[in-house]
Amino acid sequence: MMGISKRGNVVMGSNEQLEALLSIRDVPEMRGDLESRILQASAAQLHVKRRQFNFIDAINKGINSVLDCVLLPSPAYAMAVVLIVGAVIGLYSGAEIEGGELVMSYANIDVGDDMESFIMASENFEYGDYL
Amino acid sequence: MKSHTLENLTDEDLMVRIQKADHGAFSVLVKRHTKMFYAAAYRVYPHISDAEDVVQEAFLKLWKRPEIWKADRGAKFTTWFYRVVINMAIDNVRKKKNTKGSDVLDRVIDTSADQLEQLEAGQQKQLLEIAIQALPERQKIALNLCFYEGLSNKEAAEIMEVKVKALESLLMRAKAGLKILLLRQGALSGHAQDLSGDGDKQKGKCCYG
Repeated sequence: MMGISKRGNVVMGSNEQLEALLSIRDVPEMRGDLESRILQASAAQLHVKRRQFNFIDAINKGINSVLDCVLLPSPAYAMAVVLIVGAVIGLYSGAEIEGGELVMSYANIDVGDDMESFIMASENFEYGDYL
Repeated sequence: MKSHTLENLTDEDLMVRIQKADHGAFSVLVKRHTKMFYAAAYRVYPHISDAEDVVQEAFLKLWKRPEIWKADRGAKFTTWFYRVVINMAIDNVRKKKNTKGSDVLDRVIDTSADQLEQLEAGQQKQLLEIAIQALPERQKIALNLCFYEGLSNKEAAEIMEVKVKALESLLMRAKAGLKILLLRQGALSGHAQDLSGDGDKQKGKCCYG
C-alpha cells in the first residue's frame, strides 16, 4: 500500500514502513583479527594432532625396525620357506617309497591303540630300511 | 595444493579436504565465511564479542571434528553450518539469560513508552533491534534468515528443520509481532512521519490489521 501525500511525499503503508525500517538494521564490523584468531587456534590444535600422530608413528617405526632385525633377507627367507613347506608336505604325506618293498608311513601306524608300537617303530626305523 | 587453487574449490570439496586434516583448506573456508556467520550470530545475540566467540567456537569445533559434517546427506555446507552457528548462538543466549538475566529483553521491559518517545531518529535502529530481540526465538531466526541473510524460504526452512509452510507462518507472525511492538514504541509511525511529513494521518493508518 503506497500513495502520494498532499506535499508530494511518499506515504507508505505499514508493510512498506516495516520493510523500510527493517532495512536500516545493520551489523557492526567484527574485529579484524577474528579470522587469524580462529586460524591460530586451529593451528595449535593441528600441532597437538601432529604430535599425537608422530608418537604413534614412532611406535610403528620401532616395531618395524625390530622386525627388520629379526626377519631374514628376502632370498634366504624364501629358501627357508620352501624348505619348511617341503618338510611339512613330506611329513604329512608319509614316507612312501614307490617301487620298494617297504611302504612305511607314520600315518599307517595305529597310534590311538598302541602308542608304544608307534614309538618303537619310529625309533627302529633306520636309513637302511629304505634300501 | 596451493591456496589459489584451494580457493577455487567449493565448500563441500574443502570439507572433504578438512576431513583429511588439510589446514590450508580450513583456512580458505574460514576466510570465505567468517564475516557471514559472524553477522548471523550477531543477529541472534547482538553483542560483538559474543558473536565472535560463537563463530570461533563453531569453526574450531568443525576443525576438531570435521566428520560431523556428512557429505552424503546432500546438504550444502553453508546451510548446515548456519544451523550450527545459530544453535550455538541460541545456546549462548540461554546461558546468558541464566547467568545475567536477559539483558536485551530487559531493555525492552525497562524502557517505558515515554522514554522511547524521546529517542531520536538515529535511535530507531536501537528500537528495531530491541523489538526484534523481543520476538519469540523461532520467529526471530526465521526473520533473520529470510530477511537479513537473504536465504530462500526453502533454505531457511531446511536450516530450521521445519516445512516451508511452517516457516512462512513464522515469518508472518514475526512481522505482525514487530509491527505491534514498533507501533507501540512509536518507531513505525515515527518513521512514516519522517518519510511523508504527514505523521498524524499516517499514525492513524499504521495500525496492524
